[in-house]
Parts: sequence; structure tokens; C-alpha cells
Amino acid sequence: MVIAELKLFISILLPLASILFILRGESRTIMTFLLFGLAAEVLSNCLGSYIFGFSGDSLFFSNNISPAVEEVLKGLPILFLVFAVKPKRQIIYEASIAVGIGFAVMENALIISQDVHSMSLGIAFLRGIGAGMMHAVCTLAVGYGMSFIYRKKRFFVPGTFLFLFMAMVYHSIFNTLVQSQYQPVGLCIPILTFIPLIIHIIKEYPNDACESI
Amino acid sequence: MEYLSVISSAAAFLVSGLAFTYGALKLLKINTLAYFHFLIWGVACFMLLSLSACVNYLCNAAYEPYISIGSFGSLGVYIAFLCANSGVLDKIVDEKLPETRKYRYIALIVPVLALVAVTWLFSAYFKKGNTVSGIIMVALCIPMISSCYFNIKHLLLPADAMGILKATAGCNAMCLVFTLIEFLYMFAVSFDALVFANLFFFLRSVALLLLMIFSVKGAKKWLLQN
Repeated sequence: MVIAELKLFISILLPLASILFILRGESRTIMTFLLFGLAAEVLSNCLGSYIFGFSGDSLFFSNNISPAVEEVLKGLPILFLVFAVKPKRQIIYEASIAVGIGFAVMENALIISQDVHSMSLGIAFLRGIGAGMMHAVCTLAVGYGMSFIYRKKRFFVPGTFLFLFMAMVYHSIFNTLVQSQYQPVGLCIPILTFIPLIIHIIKEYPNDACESI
Repeated sequence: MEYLSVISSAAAFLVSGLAFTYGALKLLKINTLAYFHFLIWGVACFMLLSLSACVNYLCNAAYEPYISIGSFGSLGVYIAFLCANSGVLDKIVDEKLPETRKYRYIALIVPVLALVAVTWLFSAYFKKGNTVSGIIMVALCIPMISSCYFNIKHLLLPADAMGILKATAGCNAMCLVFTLIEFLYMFAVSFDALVFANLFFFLRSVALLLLMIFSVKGAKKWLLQN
């Protein structure tokens, strides 16, 4: 399982990584974070399968443990970016979405490759939209929160946890719904949250909010 | 009794969703004050928590409060309140003057009382064999009690020259009410009083709706006075 995933990871990583030699500036940053997203998925799968050995209950694991592990691993590249580079807000947002999308690409590739013959085109489409947007929303929420708090040392640590917790609970809701008879509702939730979040962030670009305090 | 849990969590989600939408639309439009942003995120955490509880009740029969990942939503609410109060408001309104020392000491009484309650609750959970729930609950109580201390202190402190304490008095009061209802909810869960537990779960969302109403009023006052 882990070896198969590593093969898939390398086959996706290497062509994408080769573009890094051509790209410059922000584009290179975004592509790098997309690759971090792919790596985060592989790591979370390895770590998840290790933890699953202790828990055993697959439903409890996918609803409670897996969202926590995945969100922490997706949050680490953003944390590094914010803490070490201290870039503009726009770059944090773009990098956050890139990590989420990279994670979703790897996850979808892995799930579909495991059962490519029995999966219909419709399911593949819904997975792409639903899971892709869910990971993007979760990481974007963490990135949005970090962009808000990173200049204020006094609430950087609690604030980071606050946004990670939000992402974890949101992820858990999605996982619970898609594994139940309410799967269509679960797939709609990311779309319903992605659009308002993006509209808010686009509106916010011109004025850096929360500068007064 | 499962249907009652579904109804109360769904109603709590709707009310907290209304509170979040109202707060986000009004507060993000009128000001850029970090204090109110943290309050909105606190409401968002509770909204997710109630949705998580509702979804879990609908999908898994074996859902237990304080043992699922939804408890992180509860923890998030108090972290948000703590960031808003200790991280933002306290730095502006409390200059740590010797005259205000007595208010700081009086405010300490509540965390001490809360610690006694938490110890009792943990022992009740431990006796029932729910040690994991008890540990999660104690972890939840750390930011809960800290935010409670700041809320009381800010309510007791004499009015400041900028009028910020007056503008945020309603918010502090509602944060306190929310915390008190959470304590009642914890007691109801430990006594297996499910009707009261569901009632308190729903009442927390009402407290958050009122918090958002007071926040909008407070933000307008804050901006007018400064």
C-alpha cells in the first residue's frame, strides 16, 4: 500500500517538480506549495495507517483521527511560510489553496487508482469537486486565519490552534457525511463554503483588514 | 431520546449559523477590529460543533459528547474568546495600575470556584468510567476558565477614558453567560439528564446570537468614541 502510494507520488511529483526550474517568483512559490500538498498526503497516509493499527475502528478513525492528522500535516507548510518568510496576505492565500489542491490531487489519484474499473465517471467528477474543494477550503481557512494573526505574537499560537480546530471539525463533518446516506449533502457543503470564502477574500485584497489593532 | 439530540443540535446549528452570518456581514463591513473578528470565529467554531453533533447523531448512533473531534469546536470557541480578551482587549484597557489591583483579585474568585466544579465533574466522569471524556473536558476547561477570568475582570474594571469597556460590556456579559451554560451542560451530561443537556446545548447558540447582536452595537460605539 505504502509502496504503491510512493510510486504514484514519484510519478506525479517528478514532472511537476521539473517545472520549478522554469517558473519564477510567485508562480514558483505556488507550485512548490502544491508539491508540499502532495507530500503532506503521502505522509498523512503513512501516519494514518500507523495510527489505524491502534484504533482499528475504521469509521471512528476516518471521522475523528484522520481529519486531525491531515489538517495538521497540511497546516505545516503554511506555518513554515508564514513563520519563516512572512509574505503578503495574497501569497499566503494562494499557497494555502495550492497545498489543499495538491493534497486533494494525490488523494483522488490514490483512491481512483485503487479501484479504477468500478468507479464511474460521475463519482470521479463528484470526488474531484467535493474532496478537492473541501481540502482547499480547510487549508484556505487555516491560511486565512494565519494571515490575520501572524503579525501579533501574543495570539499566534492559540490563533493557529483555533483555525486548525475549525478545519478539523469541518473536515470531520465532510468525512462523516460522505460515508453515510447523506453523501450528496456532504459533497455540496464544500461548494457552499468555498464560494463565500473566496468572495470575501477577493473583496479583502485591496485593504489589509485588522491593521488598526 | 436520540431525536431530541438531533433537534437540539440542528436548532443550535441554525441559530449559530444565523449569528455567524449576521456577525460576519455586519462586523466585517463596519470595522477592522481584531477583538470582534475573534468573537466571530468563536461563533463559527460553535456553528461547526453543532453541525458536527447533528451530523454524528444522524449518521452514527454511538455519538458521545466530549469524545469526538467536535469537542475541538468547543475548545476553539474558548480559544477565540481568550484571544479576544487577553490578546486584544486586555492590552488596551488594563494598564495594571495599583488602583485596579482589587478588581483583578476579585475576578480570580470565579476561576477558583470553576476549578472546584471541574474537579467534581472530572471525578463524576471518572466514576462513570468515562476517563477520556473527563480528560478532554479538563483540557477544555483551561481556556474556558481563563476567558471567564478576563470577562469578569473587564466587567468589573472602572470605565476607561476611551469608552472601550462600556462598548464591550455586553459582549463580556454574553461570553460569561455562554460559559455558564456550558458548565450547566457539562453537569447535565454527567448526571445523564439528557433533556437538560439538549436544552443547554441549544441555549448556548442563543447566547452566541445575543453576543453577535451586542458585538455589532459595541463595534459601532467603539468606532464612534475613537
